[in-house]
Amino acid sequence: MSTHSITLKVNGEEHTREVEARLLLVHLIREELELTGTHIGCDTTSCGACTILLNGRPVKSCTMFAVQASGAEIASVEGLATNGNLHPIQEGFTEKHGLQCGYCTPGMMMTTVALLKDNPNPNEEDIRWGVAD
Amino acid sequence: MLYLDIVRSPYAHAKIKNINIEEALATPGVVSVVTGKDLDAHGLASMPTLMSDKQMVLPIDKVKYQAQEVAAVVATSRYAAADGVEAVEVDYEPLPVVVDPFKALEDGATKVRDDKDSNLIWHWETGDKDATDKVFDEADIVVEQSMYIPRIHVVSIETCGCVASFEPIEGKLTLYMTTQAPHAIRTVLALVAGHVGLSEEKIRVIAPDIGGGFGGKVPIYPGYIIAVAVSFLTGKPVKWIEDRSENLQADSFARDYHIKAALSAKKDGTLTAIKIKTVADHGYTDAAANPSKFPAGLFHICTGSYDFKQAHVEVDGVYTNKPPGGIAYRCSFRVTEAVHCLERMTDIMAHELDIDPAELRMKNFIRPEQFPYSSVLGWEYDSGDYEKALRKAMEMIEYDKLREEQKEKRARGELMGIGISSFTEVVGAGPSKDYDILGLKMFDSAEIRVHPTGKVMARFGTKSQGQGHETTYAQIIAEELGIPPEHIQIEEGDTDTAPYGLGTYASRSTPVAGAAGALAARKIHDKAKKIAAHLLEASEEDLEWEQGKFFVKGSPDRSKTIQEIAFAAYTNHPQGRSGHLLRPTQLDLSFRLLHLCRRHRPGHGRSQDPPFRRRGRLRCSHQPDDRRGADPWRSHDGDGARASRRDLL
Amino acid sequence: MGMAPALLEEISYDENGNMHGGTLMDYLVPTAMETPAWETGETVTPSPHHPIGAKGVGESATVGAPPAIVNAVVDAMWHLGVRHMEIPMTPSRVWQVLKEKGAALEE
Repeated sequence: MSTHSITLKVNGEEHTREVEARLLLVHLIREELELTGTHIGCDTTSCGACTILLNGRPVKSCTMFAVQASGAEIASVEGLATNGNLHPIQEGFTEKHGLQCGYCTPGMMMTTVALLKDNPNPNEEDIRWGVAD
Repeated sequence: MLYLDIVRSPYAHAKIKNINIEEALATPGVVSVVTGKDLDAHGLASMPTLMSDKQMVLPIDKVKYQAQEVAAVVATSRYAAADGVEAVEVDYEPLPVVVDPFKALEDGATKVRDDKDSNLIWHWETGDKDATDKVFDEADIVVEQSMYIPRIHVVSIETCGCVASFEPIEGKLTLYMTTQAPHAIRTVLALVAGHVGLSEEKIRVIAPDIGGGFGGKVPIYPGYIIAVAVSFLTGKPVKWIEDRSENLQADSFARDYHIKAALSAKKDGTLTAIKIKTVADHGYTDAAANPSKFPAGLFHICTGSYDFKQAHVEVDGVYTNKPPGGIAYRCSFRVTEAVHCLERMTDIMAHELDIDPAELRMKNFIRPEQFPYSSVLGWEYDSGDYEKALRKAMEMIEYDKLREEQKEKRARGELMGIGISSFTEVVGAGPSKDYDILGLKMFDSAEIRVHPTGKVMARFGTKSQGQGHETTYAQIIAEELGIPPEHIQIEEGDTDTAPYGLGTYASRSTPVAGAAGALAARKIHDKAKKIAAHLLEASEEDLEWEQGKFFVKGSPDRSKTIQEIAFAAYTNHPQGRSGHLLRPTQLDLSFRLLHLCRRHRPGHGRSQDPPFRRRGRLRCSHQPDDRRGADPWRSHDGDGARASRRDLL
Repeated sequence: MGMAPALLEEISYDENGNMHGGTLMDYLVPTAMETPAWETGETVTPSPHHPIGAKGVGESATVGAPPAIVNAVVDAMWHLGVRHMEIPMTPSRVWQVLKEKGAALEE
């Protein structure tokens, strides 16, 4: 299996790794970089638990290769809080009990961050589309 | 860490002629390949299901459903394990497949199980058939309908998986696992693997936060047993996480009930009797999670919220070449199937009689004054006001207006429907006289410790999957003890620390473990009252309680808060009231020398020859040692209390 | 949750025992788009056998909802001669029934 040297920025920190071409981005994030807040729910881009931001856009990291993210800036749920302060989205989820088991919550939050960036005043339908997409 | 991946069968029924593992073993990173024969050498090739049927961990000669586990590959990474799975060559001889349970019951049908006489697992019936038939003969109207409640899957967002970590020096297995019932899993593991040395006190199951369960995380799946076996044999932690396709194709399913029902009534809409015949497709093994005396679960709750005079139910459990089904999934024990059947039949009857479906239900509801109510199929109903609930729902949706709207739309050729259902569900799994898992009576437990500063640690035998037990239990204890919920720490899911319980499913945590929590808190409350009486130099009879403090009747300023009482429990408890406390009167000095007896591990640590007979160490201790009395180190636990659901019964 | 078995979810097999739908692309679970908004209300009848009167309600939605949804769909079509619908009531299954009864808008 061929390997490739990739460099990417995750939550502002630069990482260089030698990875197999087949390594999934989610496995790089969880297992190589040990950022286990990003979860795997389905392997088929259906559920969104693994959503991260790639150059600001929400993508499902279970169906993308790590090598495809070389040179990119990635944001995962661990990067939301800054200086020990929760991100407003994290505060909102907490305040409104926006979770049950919490497994998909990191993906939900990353999706919501992206949604609000594009559309700061979404109506209910926008929100439903946004988190279901 | 080692990683486990599983070779699965492409066939629903086939003979395994040969498994060639050479290429897999030569794959970089692959450590070993485990087959059914390897497990059989340790007596682990099969395990009992929760209904005491037999489930293969890995097959020795035949596979019985598509995606069944055939072999397991152990490797240094998940990717290497997947490479190994690709490289395992299995030579199958396909066999005839039976998928339809009705065909499975025909004479000469392909037999799913070689160890059974036929595909009929069991026939179960309840109710008085002759009396029911008589009511049907006298009925003004009878409606009949067949219906199928299809197989569905739990789809918890987190799939199943574990890290099994056997520590050879201590001889202890720690199993981190996504399970709804950690204690039951520990016991079942000890029953399955006790003969190879996994004794129950050496098993610790830890269920951390888990990503949903819905009933699908009650059973033990083959992957768990293989992971445990590999860790046991290698002494290394082994991780097995199934992917979504494996989860959907091989884990337990629910429903799959083929129902034929008949309902009788009088002209005025009074329901008189119901008859149900069901064929239940259980797949290749009966792995349902039902109380052992009820193979069809609680299906005989099928008289629901109505006052039936007679009913008769028959269910045939059938083997087919499908994965094991019949788990309690998002409902307790076949109640969903029963409710679906009854509520469909009731609606059909209402339409046939041209009576409003809400009105027909109202007419037949068990009335509030009939409680406690004994149903004709043997259930005892505690309380309810069904009409009030339905009326409230109808007000909320403005039922009459909706019916008007429906009429107008129908006149215009538009289709609009209004649906109602009412149901009575047996929840809470107890009571223990009827409910068990593999014979384990279905109780649950709570253990509450009050710390000197009046803060609480409470542990339960259940396991939240996102239901919010931390909030509910803390509120129950807060209500009983007057300690704010934010100072009550709730823990579940670690069998080494939590008291024994049967876990979370069947809407049982609050009614069962929550009740145990309330009872334990009341024991603490009683004890606090004794201490308060001592502190206030008053008799217990003269004390009154208001949220958070005891005070002397008529002198509200002579009071002690629960926090003050908690501190006194450790510092100033009354003589003769120590209960579980042992207060040593003098220091006993003991000196012990244990010789080191380190030995090499023969035979991978079988029970008769454990790897280390004793953990050798040199210890010199000053400790109050009263072997005949209570364990002195437990003395401060005495300020806690335990209660279990059994106290209720 | 009760809407999913009524409208979307089913695991089926072909005659050779091949499972249809082994991924979440084929096995339909409702997303935020399919999930309706709902109002809840309650009446209280404490259990007399229980220290705090509690009863379990964790599964209410999944037990009661599927037949209510089927009853609604059948109620809409009873006058056309429809007396039962099997679940899941997928759009194509409902359309087939309407077509049989001559009530489908177009083929």
